[in-house]
Amino acid sequence: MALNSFNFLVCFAFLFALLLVLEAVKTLTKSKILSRIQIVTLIIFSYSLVFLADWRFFVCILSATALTYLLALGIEKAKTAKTQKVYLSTGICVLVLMLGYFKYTNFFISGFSSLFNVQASTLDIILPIGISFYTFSAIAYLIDIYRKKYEAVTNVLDFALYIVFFPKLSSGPIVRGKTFFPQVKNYRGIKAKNVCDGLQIFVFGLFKKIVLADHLGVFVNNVYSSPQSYSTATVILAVLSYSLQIYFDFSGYSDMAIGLSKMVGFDFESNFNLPYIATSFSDFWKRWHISLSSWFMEYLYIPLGGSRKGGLRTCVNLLIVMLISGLWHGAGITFILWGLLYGVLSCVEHLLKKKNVVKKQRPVLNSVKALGIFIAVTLLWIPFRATSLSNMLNVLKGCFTLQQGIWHPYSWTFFALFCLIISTVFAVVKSKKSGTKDKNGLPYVNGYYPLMNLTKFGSLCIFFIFCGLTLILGYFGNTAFIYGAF
Amino acid sequence: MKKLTKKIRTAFYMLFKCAVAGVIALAVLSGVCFLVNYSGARVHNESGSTDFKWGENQYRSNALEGFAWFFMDEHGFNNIEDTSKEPDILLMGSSHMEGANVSQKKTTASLLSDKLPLSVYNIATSGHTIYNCVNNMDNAVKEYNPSKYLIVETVTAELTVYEMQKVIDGEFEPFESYDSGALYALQKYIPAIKTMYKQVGFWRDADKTPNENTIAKPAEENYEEVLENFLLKAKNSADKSGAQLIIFYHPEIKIDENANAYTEVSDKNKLLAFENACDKLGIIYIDMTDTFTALYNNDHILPYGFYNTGVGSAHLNEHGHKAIAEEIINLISEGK
Repeated sequence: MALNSFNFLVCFAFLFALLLVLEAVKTLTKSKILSRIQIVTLIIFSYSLVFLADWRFFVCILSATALTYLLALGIEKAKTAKTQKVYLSTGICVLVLMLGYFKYTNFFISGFSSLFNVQASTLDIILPIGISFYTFSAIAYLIDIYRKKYEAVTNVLDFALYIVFFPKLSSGPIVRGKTFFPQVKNYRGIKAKNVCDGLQIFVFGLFKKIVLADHLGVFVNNVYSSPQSYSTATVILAVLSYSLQIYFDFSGYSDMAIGLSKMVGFDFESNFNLPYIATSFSDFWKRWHISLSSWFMEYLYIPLGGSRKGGLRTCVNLLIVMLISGLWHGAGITFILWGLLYGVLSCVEHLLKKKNVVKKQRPVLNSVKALGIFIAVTLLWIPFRATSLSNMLNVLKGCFTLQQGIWHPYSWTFFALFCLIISTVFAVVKSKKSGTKDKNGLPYVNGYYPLMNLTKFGSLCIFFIFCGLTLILGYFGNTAFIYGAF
Repeated sequence: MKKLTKKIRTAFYMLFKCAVAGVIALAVLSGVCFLVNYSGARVHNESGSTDFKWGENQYRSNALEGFAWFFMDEHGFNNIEDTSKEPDILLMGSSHMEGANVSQKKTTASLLSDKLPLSVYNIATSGHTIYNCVNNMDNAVKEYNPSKYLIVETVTAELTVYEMQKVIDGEFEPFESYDSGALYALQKYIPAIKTMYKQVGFWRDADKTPNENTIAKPAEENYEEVLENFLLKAKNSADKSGAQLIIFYHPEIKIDENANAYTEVSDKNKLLAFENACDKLGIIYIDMTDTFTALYNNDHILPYGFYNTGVGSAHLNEHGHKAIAEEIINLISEGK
């Protein structure tokens, strides 16, 4: 059940009401056991959603949870380093194999049959909900325990909630154990300020998703399904629209997940930080899908050696990470190509990067760099969105040749661009005022949620108007989350 | 106890603030709806020429699908001039022909009126399929008495025996309308509620699987016979005023992955049966398929959709209206 679906929101309303009742009883009786009951309620609700989607998904996630829980305890209690490694390797292998089986079996069967001209029928495999995300959460947990970053969780319910927690299950963010477990252990319950803030963040996310992303998706789907029918200007507009769509879709979903989590008492970090003002590819990946890119950094790039073993090895590491990232996003040649292209560009950027750190701010140069990176990223989204190599080539042809066809200046693209620019301007102004700086001491722009105090009458009016506008302008043509497919 | 009382008082005060803020928000949102998506209330049509009509001189706006801001005429239909008294041409149809998504000057009715030395009156109304139109045709002819042509628009020529039989038997259910009461007031003065109510309906339907959204239809028996009776009913209505009945069919044009235009026809036999039945009964039948396809092939123009909708989807745009008007003008000019 998607977070923006009507049925899910009705179910969530019931869950929230129940948690609220438990919170009221907890306040009156001051009984600590009620916090545990609230946690159990969250677990039951999360598992119910998985079970309702498909009982096999339920079995899958339960197996992954049990395996990871037991192996983590095994790692912690193991007497020798070798045993620890065995437990760790077993856990990672089983989880990766599980992910590989569900996600890539048919891709490899099709690839094998076309490569060797052999007839092979694909298997009837459905992708379990959230598998790409919870396997990564589980792997991160096992590695953290192995590295002794924190103690293994002994309470099986706490661990179960970590894996299955419904706001982040289907499309992330990939929350780390060190963020999640202290909050479960000292569960603070339902607090009025968190509910107000969480609700606002949720509605921001909903606006991004159903008003901006879903409207953009209509146009993008039209053009990508038949790029040769459209004029060059229209194809370029569609390519730009997809760049906006994927950002609003995914960041919108992340906001909804973060908002709902906050409402029920959990704080997660933002998953996007104005990625389209990045001045380099490395900066882009620090701003886009932060939970995934930081996962790859910490659990793949750095263990491979990171940038510590010379330029050539760094490039190899970057290529490996980006290829795997591409593959994680989808079992298709276009995703692999997307990852490969990012890998190559990241290598080039790394090799060209000057060793001397720039101490001066150069706003004009940074603006030009940001525009260049935005254009590059937008072009790189083409293979990501394309349904096949030929589709990708047709879109590229549409962009770079003077193609005659349908002219369609889609108004929602301009509206979405306007929203993006306005929010960026506000963020730039706020960051300047607060004096945010990066590790080199240079000014750095951070995004933020413009939260209001909903106990004030004026704020309530504005919030209700925003909710109403979201509903009135929303598109309900049954559009799934882009990242839910991964 | 004091603390509890204070908390309860705070809660009630908060609820009161929410209620007042909600009312203010509704007022502001209704203002937004007046600008971007407003049609007023559906009013009962006493003449029965349509299931309902819009309010007299009703203000209409549309910026979510197409771009149009205009006023309906004093009878609640979309006409620039009031030519309702025995027009030469009477137009019936759905929201496509109503033309509430395009400028009034660019609707089929306006274009016909400009180019032909004939008076044209348009009573096409949202939601009115060919079933509604045939069902209301007797009343429409009685009310307006078109002297030369009665033109009916339809997006489909693949009808169902079930619905045609209902029309023939006089059991076809008309749309609801509201002349007064809470629903009328809500639609007219607080359009935000109507819009949000509709959106919530779409939202709920988005969760349903396709099977849940379709109504099971009984098997089609004696299709051609029923179709002939159905069209004969329409013909007889038109004959009462001596008007020539014209039915024009305008299918949705889609584009495949090879950039070729096509229409989705599930049963070509039904299309052929419709054309043959019209021919047999002396009804002029216009199929816009070839014209629309040529529009795309020659000029890369689709007759549906606007810059704020998907490409080629939604209602007839100004190009579609123009193509239809030209087709009718050619037909009438040829003396048919």
